[in-house]
Amino acid sequence: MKHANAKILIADDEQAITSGLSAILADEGYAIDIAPDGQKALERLAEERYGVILADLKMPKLDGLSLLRELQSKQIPTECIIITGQATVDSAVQAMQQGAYDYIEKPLNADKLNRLKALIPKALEKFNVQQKNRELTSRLEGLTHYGELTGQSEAMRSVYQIIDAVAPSNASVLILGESGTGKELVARAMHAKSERSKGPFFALNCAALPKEILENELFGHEKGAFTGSTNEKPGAFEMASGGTIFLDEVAEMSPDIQVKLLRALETRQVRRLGGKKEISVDIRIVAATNKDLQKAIAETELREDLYYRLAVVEIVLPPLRERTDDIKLLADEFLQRYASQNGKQITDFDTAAWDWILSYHWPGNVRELKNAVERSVIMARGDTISVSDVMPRHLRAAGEVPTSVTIQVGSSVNDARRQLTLRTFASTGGDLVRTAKLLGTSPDEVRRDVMGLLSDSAAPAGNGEEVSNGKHTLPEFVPTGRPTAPAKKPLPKKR
Amino acid sequence: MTSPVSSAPINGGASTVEALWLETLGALCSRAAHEIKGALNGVVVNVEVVRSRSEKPEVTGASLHQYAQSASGQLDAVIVMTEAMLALTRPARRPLALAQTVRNVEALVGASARADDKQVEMQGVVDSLGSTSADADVARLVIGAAFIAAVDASSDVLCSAAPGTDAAVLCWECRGGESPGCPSMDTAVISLAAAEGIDVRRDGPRLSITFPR
Repeated sequence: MKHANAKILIADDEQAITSGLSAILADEGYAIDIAPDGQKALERLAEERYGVILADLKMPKLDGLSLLRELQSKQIPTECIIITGQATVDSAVQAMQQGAYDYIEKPLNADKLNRLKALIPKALEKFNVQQKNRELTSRLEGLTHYGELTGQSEAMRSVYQIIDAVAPSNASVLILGESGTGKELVARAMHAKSERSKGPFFALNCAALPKEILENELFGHEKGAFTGSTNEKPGAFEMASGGTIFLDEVAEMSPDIQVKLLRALETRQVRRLGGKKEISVDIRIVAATNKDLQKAIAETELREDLYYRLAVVEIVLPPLRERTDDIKLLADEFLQRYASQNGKQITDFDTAAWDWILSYHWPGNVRELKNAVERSVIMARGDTISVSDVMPRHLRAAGEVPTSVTIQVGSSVNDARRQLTLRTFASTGGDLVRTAKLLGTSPDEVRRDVMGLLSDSAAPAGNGEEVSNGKHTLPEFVPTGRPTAPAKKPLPKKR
Repeated sequence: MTSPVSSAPINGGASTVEALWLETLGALCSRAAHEIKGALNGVVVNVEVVRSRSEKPEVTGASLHQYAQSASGQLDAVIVMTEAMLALTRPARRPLALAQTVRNVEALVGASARADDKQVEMQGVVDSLGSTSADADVARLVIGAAFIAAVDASSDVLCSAAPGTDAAVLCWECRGGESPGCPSMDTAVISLAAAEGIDVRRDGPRLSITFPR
């Protein structure tokens, strides 16, 4: 039995009912405990974990509804099934509104008992799922790394949670996200967490190859299938059998290949080019794209049926600008990695560099940040990295600055204010007075916001404020002859 | 200190007695209803255990005994409460048998009181109360109302009796609870009792009713 030995608590003051009910449920394989009133039930639930509690509405000391309220307020994990007489159906409805799993009306005749027997496994299933979620959430709390992924923001924790939940299954997964957000890392993490982890992980970029070559790569060919094919060659599906195949930029596939891919997904069989026999494959498909899929489907670039086959589960990777909490973590990590790789004794970014890193909108996402840090490590001469080291050349040459700030839903008011302050501060070339004027606040407040954000990353140089020509600037923020803020122009997409 | 509870007879006669009795009977039945349903549920659940387990060849009859006995015990409780309820819904017999009436009322009030963790004790001497010459409907009404008042006033009630030649005295002593105090009866019931020569007295937590022979 699926929920054998699951623990159930019966809370009822009528001994004849509790003994009979416990015998019936014990026969179903459950471990039963009895509480003669609501208060005792609450005490038991505080001591032990019960997947389900069957509670009578009318009980001495603490009735069923009050017990339910206590369970809610004390956040005691269990699923409550209320047992009620017909006269109290209204109360049972009220109990449902207060979070009871379900209710059963008395008398508990054979039909009602059968309904109860059917309800309990479902309630236990819900309890188990929620229990797993609770464990996962507490495990992910404070987690900064997941596989090769780095991030501790709420958005990334949600991604980790989905990967954890989906990895053990065979469901196809579609990863959506801008270029450079780490889609392949998600696919690798999913493979590593799955039961296929001992099998191969095969990644293929569908946009990088011409149609004929992509088809050959995916499905393979038989000897003599086309001019020059002197040997047979298994395709990616065959090579990834027993493991996971990752199809990046899947929306770039030609319609012909999309049809073949759809067939392979449906039948789990492929036929090599020039081949006659069907070859069975045991694969899990993880696909990714940075395209607007609704638009791609509307413009018939992507088959709708293929989309539904691929997107059994969708994972949306947030762009780096929407997970500003992670920028510092990532920048620190890249700094250590590349300093070590290049044999340099670089310990940190200076204050102005941090300011730029944290306020830039990173259109190329983590990949752009990684490249920027790697370049800055190579270019840096001292033991800290300055803004001129980290800022890409094309931004240094341009004078445009970003005029908008993306604030994620759920961000705190303080975070939102700090982002706005930093971006405005960067756009003024580090002019505290002008920033304060634009924001309608005081230079001191601007300085506090800027320094507050930077204090986690680097101690401000000197007193953190200098006055020159009426400008309050942070030291080192305005390199002579160089624009001080990032340009709006995005980096070309890398493929 | 004893204080006689008496007031002028109220007007209305039989229709008032009937209305007050229906009200009292309703209170008695609604208190017992939950207990009857509870006991019936006990019967159903335990019979279901016997039924489902007896289908299994490895189960012995002895292992079912506990559940059969539990169902039987619950059925007995249902029978007692149902018979008491039916007896009280019938027209009162004249002269009224006081002991049987007290027992019937106790079967209904006592079951629900005990379910609420209250103590209701009946002294055996109650059974020798005999009958009263007072109007049977009024006497029955007074017993029902007095029992409800006593149980509502206390978590521990002792019902005793003093059968005499000229009169029969029924007494409820409220022993427990935070403020067992005084069981309070409807003044209309007290007035009807007085008109029939039934004396209702309250002495602190003690309520006594004297019925004429």
